[in-house]
Order: sequence, then structure tokens, then C-alpha cells
Amino acid sequence: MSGSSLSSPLEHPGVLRVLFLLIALTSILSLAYSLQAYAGGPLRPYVANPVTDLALTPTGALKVARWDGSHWAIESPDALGYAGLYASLAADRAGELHIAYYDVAAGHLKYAHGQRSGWDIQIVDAGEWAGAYASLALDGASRPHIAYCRLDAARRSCQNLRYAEFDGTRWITATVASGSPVGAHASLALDRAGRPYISYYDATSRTLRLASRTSAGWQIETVDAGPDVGEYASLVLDPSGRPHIAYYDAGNGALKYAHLQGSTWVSETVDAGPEVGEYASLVLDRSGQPHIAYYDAGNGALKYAHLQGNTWVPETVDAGPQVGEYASLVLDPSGRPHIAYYDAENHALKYARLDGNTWAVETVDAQGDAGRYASLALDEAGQPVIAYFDAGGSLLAAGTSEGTIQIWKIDDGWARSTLPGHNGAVIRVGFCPASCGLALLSVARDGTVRLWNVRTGDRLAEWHAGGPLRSAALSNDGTLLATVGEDNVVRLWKAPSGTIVHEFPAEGHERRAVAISPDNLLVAVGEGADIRIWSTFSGDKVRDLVGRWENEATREKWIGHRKAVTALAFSPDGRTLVSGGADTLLIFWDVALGRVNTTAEGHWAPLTQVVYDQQGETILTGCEDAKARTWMSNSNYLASYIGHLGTVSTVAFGRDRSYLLTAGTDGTVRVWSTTTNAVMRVEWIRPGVFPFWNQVLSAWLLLSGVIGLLCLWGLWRGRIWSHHLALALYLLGPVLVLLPPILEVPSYPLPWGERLRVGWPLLFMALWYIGLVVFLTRGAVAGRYEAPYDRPLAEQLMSVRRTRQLREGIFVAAVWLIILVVLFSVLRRFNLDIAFMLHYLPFIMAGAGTTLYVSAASIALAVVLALLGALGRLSRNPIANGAAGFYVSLIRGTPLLVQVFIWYLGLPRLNITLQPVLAGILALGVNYGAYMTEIFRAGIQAIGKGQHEAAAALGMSGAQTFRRIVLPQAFRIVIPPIGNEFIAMMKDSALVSIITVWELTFRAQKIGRQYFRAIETFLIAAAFYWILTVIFQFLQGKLETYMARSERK
Amino acid sequence: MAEPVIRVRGLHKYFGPLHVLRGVDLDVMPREVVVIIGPSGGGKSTFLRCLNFLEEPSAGTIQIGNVKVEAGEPASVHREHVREIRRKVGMVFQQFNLFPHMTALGNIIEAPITVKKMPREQAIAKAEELLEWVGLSDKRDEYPSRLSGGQQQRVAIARALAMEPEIMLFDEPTSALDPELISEVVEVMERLANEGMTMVVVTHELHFARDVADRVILMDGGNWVEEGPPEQIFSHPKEERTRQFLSHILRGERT
Repeated sequence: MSGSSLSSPLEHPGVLRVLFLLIALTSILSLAYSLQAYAGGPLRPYVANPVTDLALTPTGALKVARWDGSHWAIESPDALGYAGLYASLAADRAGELHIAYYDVAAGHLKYAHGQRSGWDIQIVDAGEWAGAYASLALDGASRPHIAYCRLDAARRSCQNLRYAEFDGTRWITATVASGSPVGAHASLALDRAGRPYISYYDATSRTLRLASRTSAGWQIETVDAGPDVGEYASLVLDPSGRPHIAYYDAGNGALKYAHLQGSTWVSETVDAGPEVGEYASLVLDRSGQPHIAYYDAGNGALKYAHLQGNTWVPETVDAGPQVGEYASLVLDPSGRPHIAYYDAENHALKYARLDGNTWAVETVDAQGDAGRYASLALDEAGQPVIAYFDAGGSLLAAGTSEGTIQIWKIDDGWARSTLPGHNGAVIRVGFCPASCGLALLSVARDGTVRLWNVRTGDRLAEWHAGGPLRSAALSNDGTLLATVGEDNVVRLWKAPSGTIVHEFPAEGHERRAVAISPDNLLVAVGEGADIRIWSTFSGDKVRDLVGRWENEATREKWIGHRKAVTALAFSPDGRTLVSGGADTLLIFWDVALGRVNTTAEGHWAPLTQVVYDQQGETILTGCEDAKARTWMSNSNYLASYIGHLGTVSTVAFGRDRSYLLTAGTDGTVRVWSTTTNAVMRVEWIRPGVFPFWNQVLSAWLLLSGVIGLLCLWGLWRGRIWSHHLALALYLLGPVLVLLPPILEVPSYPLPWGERLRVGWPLLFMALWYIGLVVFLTRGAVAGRYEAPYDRPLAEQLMSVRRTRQLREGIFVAAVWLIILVVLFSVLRRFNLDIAFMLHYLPFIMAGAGTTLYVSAASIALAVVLALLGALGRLSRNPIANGAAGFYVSLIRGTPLLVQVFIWYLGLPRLNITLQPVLAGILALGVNYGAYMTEIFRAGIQAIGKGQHEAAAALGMSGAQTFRRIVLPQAFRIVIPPIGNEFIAMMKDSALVSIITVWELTFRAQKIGRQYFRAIETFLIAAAFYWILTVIFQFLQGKLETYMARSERK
Repeated sequence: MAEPVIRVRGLHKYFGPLHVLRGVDLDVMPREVVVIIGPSGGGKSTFLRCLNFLEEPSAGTIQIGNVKVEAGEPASVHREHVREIRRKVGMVFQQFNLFPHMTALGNIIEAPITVKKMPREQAIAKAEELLEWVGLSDKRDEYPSRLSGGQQQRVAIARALAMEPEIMLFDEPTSALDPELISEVVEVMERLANEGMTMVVVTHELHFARDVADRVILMDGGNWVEEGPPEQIFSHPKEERTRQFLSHILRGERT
């Protein structure tokens, strides 16, 4: 017997022992990791944490805080839109409140009138972006007058100064000054006769101006010519009607005070500093002495100054890192100052009052982001009332599939904190509006519902919503929670107490989506492709929203969902219900009539979430196709937001219309600009690879661990297959499971360092496997597994060649796989719409049949023509020879594309109208016939003279010889080239797409053009051509083998 | 005295300027075996191929049976004559020229079916008989590519016999064979001769000539050099050219 490498396997040299150790280590580590991963163990390195739901704190609102003698009563007169900026408050003698403010979302100046019965909201100026710097004053009849400015189109600076007055029935608006950017920091005062005076900042000349209305119209004078003065102007008139103005001198960073002496303006510096005097608020006491509250930006403090004799006495009221902006000052009848102001550090509204010699400071509203645009007044009882803006939604909460809840402070540089959340995936998060303060409600898949104090991270309450849940919805006001259980039971709960209101038992189809109407009266549930609506009040079924046939008789065109409803949303007015389905449709239902208004299509995969904006004008949808889209309320498509790596699970409108938020399975929260549709910010719950890759990796590690142990056993026993298996396992496996994510990570929206951090485990594993493969292929190792040791030498020697061939085969397969994976990664960077491709794959695939049919018919025609052509070319008959020569010359001398056109467009002129398919077959067949003529001629000529002679000697005629002897042999010779021609034909058949033959290319082009996704569709077409070609190359090989059966091997 | 079945008179053949056959005359009697030997390029094969008009004679007459063909006769008449002659004359080629796309059986039944319009079953029965006769019953369904040279040539003989010819022409039937395969073909040819087939054989196989031939003809330079019974030609050649040729051949055979 031979020695060396073919000896018994049980004497393992050192190098093999190292290999065994390596494979054992690899398998055990793989198994350990995957098992702990499946058991929910702690090791989960660098995998993104999918986001399941997003919630913003309620959007900005106008609020009013009223001291009732014991505590501050807070109410929100206008919580719709983004209202309450530039709030300006006045209380009349009857105790009624008047507030002018700006609604950013609508872009309107609004007026809220607080009567005993409640608030009356009016739109004062519905012009575009009118209402900034609103300043309200009441005349003797308690009628409101408002000065304000209209912003330019960019909504950055004031374009003109406007004035509105209420004549008892309607608002009369007028432009006071225009032409150049004017009107910022407007401050309005009325004299005893009700004549308006408005001080304002002229942004062009950077001066403080005063406009007053006389019988001759608006008179404008310059109070202080600067340079760079007049911001934060605050105007009051003394009893004799002379104006006094406090304002900021930006040039010197000082607070100034100007008043009219005789007919000249006298201005003096009240307080000087690096940056003192913003947010000035001026009042005169009974003796006409001025008092000013203002902000000292240098010290971040609220200050107060009053004139004693001839000197200004400034004092600090409240100090902090940033306290005192939006100061508003009043004096009570006893002359004591009261100041409302904003604490930017705590996002709170504060109130200060001089009590004897000390300032009493208290926090009025610390929830949300309250206190900007504070405006203070004293009511008829002398109690302070403050109107202010609560910016609200400065907090963003994201529930994750790992159970944690991430909180961001959007306004605070996206500072983040984490709530422990739940044990399983969170399916819904929602903030309670003002009523419950900054509480966050979270619902988990396991049915637990928890309430959190977001600021402290404390868990406030917990209850269980009866079993595992599939979906949940929280009402707008946060008082109702609807849950859909895995048992298809819908339950309605009072939030946050957790008492059950109603239960709607399962009825059959799976329920997946739920929504509560804005008025809390209806709950809608998607059940299969239908929607059921119940009353939350009575618990009775109100209506079923079911699709219908457009033509009931013929059952044509179904209007409604064809697959399960996966997302639901009510419009703010409650009249429309929008549903998204697994069928990719977005359907607008009329809730009252119970029928479909319109249907919109544009997503290519099941929708995950649908939300309405507050105005009810725009709808935002998230989808499994990795895109979010916006739609108008009439179902017209607006824009799409592309960038997520996987399903967009949740979407939300931003605080104003300038941005929106999306998040999904790739573990990122993305902020998008609605003007550019581009991503503005990406926040990762935790940077990491797309979870899909972790799942693939875990599964593969489990599998490879088991197979690795099997290999180890085989290698130990010296089995050849085990070496092949190990090679395939450690070479092909990593190419499939490691290479794609390694190639994907560089495209993640992360800095390079982070990408490396995310990718290093993958790189490490890749290197590990490369090492293993190198080890496996070393001569000392591989040589041992080339032949079965326990077989006769001859068999061993035979085995070596086979073994090496198989090994080469594995490496060739690896190279193919690597190139394929790299190719796919490159294609992914095309930003391909995979969901779109999947959606239209069947449609384009249907063209493969036509392509095959056209190619087969054409090749059949071509074979006949080529045979005739070849006979002609070989014939000594001048007619046949000439005709064949002409045919070949003409067809080979003109482009196929041109021929296709001529067949299609030319024949109709002879009154022969052909189906496009027929014209295409003719064009291709005639063209290929000409090329194949030469192939057939060569095939016929290749039949030797001896065959002719033998046939002749047997008495066979020329025709018999040709038919029986020459042709069969010639065919065998031309089959391989015909196969090649057929494969070429399949690809050239793309040309007939030009004459509307519905084959692969035509379909790809049609869909690609329609949706501007030509790359996607052509890639599909290319893939199918390739697949067809590969299949036919294989079949051709089989055919050649069959045809060659009469030849010696 | 019977009439000769082959009567050739003044046969000339030119290939362009090359004068290959120079007025050859030959009579072959029924059941006679004529072997033509001679050096390469002497015109043996050309003469044989002229007999069934694989080559068109340039001048002279060829009569096979009662069909008499004169060079230069009208094409329509000629074609009919050739057809008749080919029915009577079978031919075996140096390179066998079996049809590679047909099995042994397929090769044999092809002509009877297509030319003679013989029913297929009958043709197959006949072919099987012939295969048995040449000793290749077991190779019935083999393709030529899987047969040895000798087997192929035997199939070729069977193929020619299937047309029931009166005369068989053999054009160097053993020249392309390995030496050890020659005998199996020669043995078949001997049996054929013994059964009384009229044969014209061009060969270098002197044993065959000596044992089987009724008459041996030495051909060189486009015409007969010497003819006579085998004993005479091989033992007592009259012509110097014959002696030279024979010694040349025998020297070749000895080595």
C-alpha cells in the first residue's frame, strides 16, 4: 500500500489537529451565538433596533393661564394647527379676554374672545402669512384693534405693517406701511379718542418708526434714526396722548426709552450692557413715570427698571442661564409690577411679582414648552391672566421592537433619553395632550399598557389589555385606547385609567388596523378587506365599509380593498376615513355614506400607517416598500420620501408643515424636509446592520454550527465528502450571508468610524472564514482528503482527479456568487425600488411567454428560409442561386431594426394589415433566415463526397440522397449554431417591442415609463432574458448530446 | 458459351488534361471473379467507378447486362441507363461510406425501401438475413461510429447486397483496414465469390487474388499490362512490368 497522504485517518498530523480545533471552535461559537440570539440573549451586537411607532408631543397651542386666587387654571382656547405665536392679551372691564395671535400652520392672524360662555375664535386676516408681531389694544367700547405684519413668501421677515379693527360685526383690515420690509416688533396703543398709534421696526433703514392715524390717513415719523434701533419696541400713550416707547438698541446692545417733548423725540439709555434690552415691555404708572421689564441676554436674566427722579434704577428680577425672554409687564392699581416671562432653561412660563421689596417668582406652566409670547394682563378683579404659546411637540417618542422607548428633545439638539419600556415589542406610543401633562402611554405586543413620566422616566401606571395584541390606537385627546388582540377581539379602554369601555368580539376575518375618530365617538377596525365601525358610546355597530363591484351584473372592477386593511385614519373633521391595505391601495371612504370616495395607488407593498395632518389637508402614509408618501385629501399624490432601508413602519407630521418624520425596521428615525423631500436628519435608535441580516446570520450560524460538527466528524474519519462540505460551507456560506451586509454597511447614513464599528463583527467573521478556507486548501490538509484511504490504490488514484475537479467547482461557484452579490449590491445603490419591482414582476414576466413564442416561431421560419437559401446558394441553377444570393445580401445589408419597421409599416400599404406579433415574427424570421443560410450551406457542404457516392451507388436519386442522407447529417451539424442563433434571437426579439409586441422589453419599457422607474423594469427584463438564455443553453447542451448519440464518445 | 455480363470497349477517361484511362477493353463473364491489381495512379479505381458511372467515361462503350451505354449519348437516355445499371451493380468503397446517422440495420434497409420501394418489414427481414450472413447479427442497432473498420466494411457489403445486385464492385475494400481486420472482410468476399457472384475487385490483397480470382489483371498507365489466371500472373508473369510490381508488393508484404 502507498504511504503518506493515503494512510489511515486516525494518525492525524499536527496541522490537522489545528484544523479540527478551529472547526470545533467555529461550530461551537456559531451554535452558542445563534442559540442565545434565539433565546433573546444579551448578545446582539450592532443590529439596528426597528422602530414600531412614533409620537410627537401635541403640537403648539395658544394657552391662557388664569390665577383664580389659589392656583393657576390653564386652558387652551385654540389647540388646532400651530396657533398662539405673538399672543397679545387684553382684558376689558367686563372681565372678558381678548387675544390676538398668529397661527403658523394656517398662516392666519386669529383673534380669541374669551367670554363667560367660552372662547370664540375668529380669523382676522386670512391673507397669506399675515399675523406675525400681533399687538392688540381695546378702545373705549372694548372693541379690539390689532397691529401686525404680513410675512414675505419665505416667512422670514415682515413685508408690510397692517392694522385691523373690529367694527362690531366684522374686521376691517388695512395696510399701514409697505414697500420695504417693515412692521416687525409692532406695538399698538390707542389714545382716548380711539386713534391708533403703532411703533414698529423698519428693517430696511434699521430705525424705529411710529405710525399714527389722522384724518388725513396714516402719518409715519422716525422716532430714533439709529443706527440699528427699534427692535422689541413697546409703546404706551400717557393720559395726554403723548407716546412713550421702550426699545432695543442693537447697535449698542442697550435698552432705550424715547418720548415726545413738545414736538421732538427725546431718547435716553435706560440700561447698557453687552446685550441688554430685548423683549422690552413698557408701562407708565399713575404719575406717568415709565417702568420697563426687559431681558438681559448677557446674563440671561430678567430685569426691571423704573425712573426715580431723573435716574433709571435697574434691578434683576430673576436670573438663570436663560430667563426673561418674552417679558410682559403690568402694574396693578397699587403700582406693584407683575411680570410674565419665559424660562428657556426649563421651557416654562414664569410669573414674578414685587412683594414689598422682594420679587416673588413662581412657575405657571412647566409642561410641554410653555411660556413663549407671554402676554400679561390683570382682569377686572385685579387677578393676573397670561396668554402664551405652548410650543408643545418638542418631544419625540419612538417605540421599538426590542421594547425600549426612545425620547428626543427636538428643540434641544435632539438630546435623547431612554425609557425602559416593555419586555416585548412596543406597538403604540402616544402623548396625552395637556390634560395629563407630559405623560406617555405605551402599548406593547404582550398586552401591557404603561404610562410614563417622560421628564423623570418614572412609570406612573400599568395595566394589561387582555392578551397579546396585534394593533392599537390612541384617541387624539389621549382618553381612549382601542386594542386589537391576536384573538381578533377589539377592546376599548379608558386611558390612562385602564377601565374597559366596550368589547367587540371576533367575527371571522383577521383584524389588523384600528382607529378612533377625532370626536371619540367612533372606532373603526379593519377586518379582512372590510372595515367595521362601532359607536364608542353605545358599543353598537354603526356601519360596515365594504367594497363593491362597479358593475354588479358583470362583476367588473372591484371598488374597495382586495386584501386586508392594514392601516386606518380618520380625517380631523371625522367625515373621511382613509384606509391602507395589503393590496397597496389607499382608499378614501365617506364615513356617513359608507362608500368609497376615491382610491389612490402609488405604494407597491402593504401600507403600515396612515396619518392625517391637523388641517386635514395632507395624508402621510408609511409602507413596506421602504417609502413614505404624502397625498392630498383628494387622493392626489404629492411626494415620496425615499431612503429607508426597509419597511417604513411609522410616520408622523412634524410640528409645522416644514418637515415630517418617518421610522422603520432599519432602526432609524428620519426627518424630511417637505420642501425638498430630502432627509434632514437621521437618528438611530442604535446604529447597526439591518435586522434582516442578523436574522439571516443567526439562522446561518445555527445551520453552519451543526454542519460544521458533521464535517468535523467526517474529517476526523478521513472522509472525502467532509472536506468538500467544509469547503462549501465556509466558502459559499459567508459569501451569501456576510458579503451582502458588508457591502451594504458603507451605504448607511453614519460617519465612517461608526460604519466601521457596525461592520467590524462582519469583517472579523469574514476574515475568520477566509482563514479557515485557506487552511482547508493547504496541501497538507487538502492532500489528505483526495482519496478514500481504505480503498484499493487504483480507486484512490481515480478519486484524486474527481476530488480536485469538485474542489475547483466549489471555487468557481464561489466566484460566481461573489460577482453576483457584488452586482446586486451595486444595483442596490441605484436606489432601486425593490417593492415596485416585486409588484410589477408578474406583469413583466408575462412577457417572457411572448418572447419565447416570438423567438420560437421566428426561428422556425428562419430554419425553413435558411434551408431554401442554402439550397439556392449551392444550386447551379442561376435562378435559385441568384434569388438566394440576393436575399442574403439584402437582408444582411440592412439593420434588423429598420427591417422590423418596414415589415410593420410597409405591409399595410399593400392593404395587408398584420398583427404586430406576426410582423415581428416575419421580420425576425426573414432576418435570421438570411444569416442562417450560411450556416446551413456550411452544414450541407460538410457532408463528404463518399456519402453521395455511396447513395448513388445504391441507386438513390439526388433528391432521395439529399433528403435521406445529406439533410439529417447536415442538421446535426447545424443544431449547435441554430441553438446559438435561437439564443441570440431571444435577445434580438427585444427589437420587436418597438412595434408594440407585448414581450419582455415592451412591458418593461411601458411600466418603466409610466412610473419613471425604467432602470427597475429593465433590470427585471434583463434578468428574465438571462434566465431564459441559461435555460436554453442547458437545453441546447442536452440536445447536442442527444444528436451526437451516433458518434463515438 | 454465355454472354459476358460486362463488356467494355475502348474506354477513355480524361480528368482535364490528364488521360487516366486509355482505351480499356474488358469482358466479364457471369459468376466470374476479376481482380485488378496495379500500382497507385494506374487507373484501377477510375475504371471501376466508371462501371457504375460514379465517373462519366469520356469515350467508349460500357455494356452491363443488356444495357449498353455509349459515351456522349443524350442526357435523358443516359440518366435512365445509369439508373438501370446501378440497380444491377453494387459497390463497396475503400472508406466504407456508411451513413453515420443510421444504425447498421438502417444502412442496409435504406436503399431497398427508398429505391426499390420494398415494404419495411420485408427489408428488415432481408437485412437481418444479410447481417447474419456477414456475421453481425449482434450489431444490428449499432451506429457505424461504434463499429470497427472490418465490421463497417461487412455492413457496407451487406448494404450493397441488399439491393440484390448481379455484379459487385469492390474498390480496395481492405486498404483502410488494420491488418488484423482484413481477413474478416476477405472471408466474406470469398464466401460471396463461392456463392457465384460476379465480382470485379480492385485490391492489393494478393492472397485473395490468388485464392479466389478467376482472372487477374495488372493495370498501369491507364490500360492493361497483363491478364491471365492467377497462377500464371503470380508464378510466371510474362511482362517485366508485372514482375517488378509483384516483387515490389511482395517485398512490402514480407516486411
